[in-house]
Formats: sequence, structure tokens, C-alpha cells
Amino acid sequence: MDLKIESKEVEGVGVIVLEGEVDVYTAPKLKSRLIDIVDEGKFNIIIDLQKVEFMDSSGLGVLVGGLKRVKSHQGSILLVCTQENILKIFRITGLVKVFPIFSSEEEAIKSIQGS
Amino acid sequence: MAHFDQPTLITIPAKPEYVSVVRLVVAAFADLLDYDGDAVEDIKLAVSEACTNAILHLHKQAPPEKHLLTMSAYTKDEHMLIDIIYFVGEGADAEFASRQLHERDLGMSILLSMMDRVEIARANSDGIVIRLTKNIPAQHP
Repeated sequence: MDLKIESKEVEGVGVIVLEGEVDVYTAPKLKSRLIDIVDEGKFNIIIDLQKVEFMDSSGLGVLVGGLKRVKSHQGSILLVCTQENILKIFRITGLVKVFPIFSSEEEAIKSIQGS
Repeated sequence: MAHFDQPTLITIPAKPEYVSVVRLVVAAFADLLDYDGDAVEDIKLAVSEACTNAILHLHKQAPPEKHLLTMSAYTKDEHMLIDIIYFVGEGADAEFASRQLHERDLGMSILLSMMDRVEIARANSDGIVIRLTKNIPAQHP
């Protein structure tokens, strides 16, 4: 399965919605979209993983790279994810301590607006 | 417990777009055994990491005509074994494959968490095998 990437702006925040699989084949596509969004000047980004069916370390690597990029502009990346199979890889790799993870886009947006 | 000691094999071009095909095959094979859904997902993830490592290794060290990889899945005693085999040419360097895997910290953490054993060795003089082992759960009466 391929990866569908939709980007939108919600209340001034860049939101990327992913659907499908993030692996060595599709991760470069995500990397490229993240770079575009940062280049547009959006440094607080929400990435919605609710429709991601599979993700491996190639996807995690892109998220970490994206985080480094936005942090250099005092920005942040927040994730939306409730699926246990995806949350598990964030726990195993310790990335739960690096990325704030929310159960809905609304919660993530509130967190950015409140900070 | 079901035994599938005759290997199920698939050979793919060592290109990123084919890794999802290997995941599908290994998931179907694991379904034949007594793994639950979570364990099947873990196996898919581990195989994806191993294939990614093989592809990266091939693209760094092997001439393009060698860019193939084979997955072989089978059972031995109470274990499922998955071999990811690829050929880099004379003087295949298992150390390089191992070092590369360890450098990919995230991938290595995932691989070690998902499988009971991960080994990397030379296969003949020109190949590398990444062997993943996972215990098969005991059947309930």
C-alpha cells in the first residue's frame, strides 16, 4: 500500500494527515512534504497518524529529522495517534519522550495554542 | 504445533517498493502458525527492518546486477526462522551489515524488541544472511 499525504492549515497550525504505510519506500515522500511545510514558514506541525497502518524506523527517522528542522526555528511536532501497533514503536524506541502524542487533532491544536 | 520445515521463499528486486510484498508474504506465513495478531504485526515490522538494512547494504557495496534479496521462512523445533539473504559479491562483509544495522539505532531497537534472536552471518563467500528467530507460542489444549 502506498502512503497518502494530505496537508492543511487549521487555526494557523500546519497539519499533515497520513494514510497507509510509512516504510523505506514511502518515507522519502513524507520527508519531502515536511521540508516543504517548514520552508513555507510553518514550524508548529501536527502529524495525524490515525490512518497509518504500518510504520517502521524509516518513518521514525523522518519524524526525528523533521523535529530537528522545526526545533531550529523554536517549533515543535505533535503527533495524533491512538493505534496500539503504532504507539508501540514509539515506546520501544523511547520516542514517546520526544514527541507529544495526542488522541485527536483538536487536543493537539489546543496544546499548541496554550503553549 | 504445525511444522513448516520446508522453506517458503520469495525473491524480490532489492528496491524499496518491493519491501511491502515481503511483509505480506511473511504475515501470511506467520498466520499459518499460532501467533496472535500482535505477534504477526511484530514479525512484519522486524522483516521490514531487516529488508531495509539489506537494501541499504546492497546499494552501498554491491554492483546493480546483484540487487536481489530472498526471504526464506520456515520452522525448526519451536521456532520460526526468517532468513533475509542477499549477495554483495566476493568478500561479503557480515561485519559491515552488522555495523550498519547497529548504526540504524531505531531499526535495531525495533528488531531486537520484536524477535527473540537476531543474527547476521556470511552466506557462502559472497552473501549475507540476516536470521530472525521467534519462538512459536505453545498451543493451548
